[in-house]
Amino acid sequence: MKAGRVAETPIWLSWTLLAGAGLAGFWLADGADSPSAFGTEAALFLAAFKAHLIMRRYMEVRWSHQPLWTILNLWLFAVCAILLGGYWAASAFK
Amino acid sequence: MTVQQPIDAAAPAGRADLPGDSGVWVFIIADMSAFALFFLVFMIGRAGSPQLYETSRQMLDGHMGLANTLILLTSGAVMAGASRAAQHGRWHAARLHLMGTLVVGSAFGVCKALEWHEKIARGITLTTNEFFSYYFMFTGIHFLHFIVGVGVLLVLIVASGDGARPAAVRLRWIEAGGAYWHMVDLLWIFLFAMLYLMRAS
Repeated sequence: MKAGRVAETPIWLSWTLLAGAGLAGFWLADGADSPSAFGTEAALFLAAFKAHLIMRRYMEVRWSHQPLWTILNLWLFAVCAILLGGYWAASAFK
Repeated sequence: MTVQQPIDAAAPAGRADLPGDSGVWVFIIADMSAFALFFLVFMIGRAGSPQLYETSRQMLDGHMGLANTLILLTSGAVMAGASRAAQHGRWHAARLHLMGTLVVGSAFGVCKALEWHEKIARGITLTTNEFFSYYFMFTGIHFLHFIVGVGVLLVLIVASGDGARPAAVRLRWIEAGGAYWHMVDLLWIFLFAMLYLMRAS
């Protein structure tokens, strides 16, 4: 029921988590003094976390029917596999 | 005076819990799939010339990319506020949130224009190398999505104030527009990570 959607997590809390993850990802990948593969991997995982949070909190998809939620999560999984898999593959065959 | 109407009563049967319109979701899924392919093409290119991609990446302004990320996250939060207000039947608040989304989101366009201008002034264009071809193509296509989103927001600002339109219709439009705007945000998050943050392995 739509009324159930309304009483959800405050938007400011979601925004704080998203902005925090954005800043942390940037600092880990670009701002740290001695960047490493870990920084890039962490930034990619944080990007996935942000995307999941947007789908869940901003798009409010989790209240919709299951197939849509499943499709979006499959997309997220595929994109993470492409980016992280590509990154790791490039490291392995360097 | 704003009249609160029972929104669920007018919702189409069997779709009460789908935010927005099913047609918009079909478009969103198709569009996101296309971007997933873009990411794949980029990663294959990157694997072939890691040094070129790394030196080119270092020429990007990461702080500008971060600013754009925070701008879109903030405008997304305001847009979510518009949906919540509409769900409560608070149409005036929903309209104000839509205007806020437009104002905050417009800063993304300004930043992007400044960034491209700076690149072009330094002689970096679509034909500079493979990395910058992808950079300009992907951020350009994303920017077109952003422009469409701005148009959608303008329509929603006008439509949400039309009291003659049924509340359920206005809510569906706002949620559909919101889903699209959040998709623009979602795609930027991965473009930012892939183009600006991914260092040489």
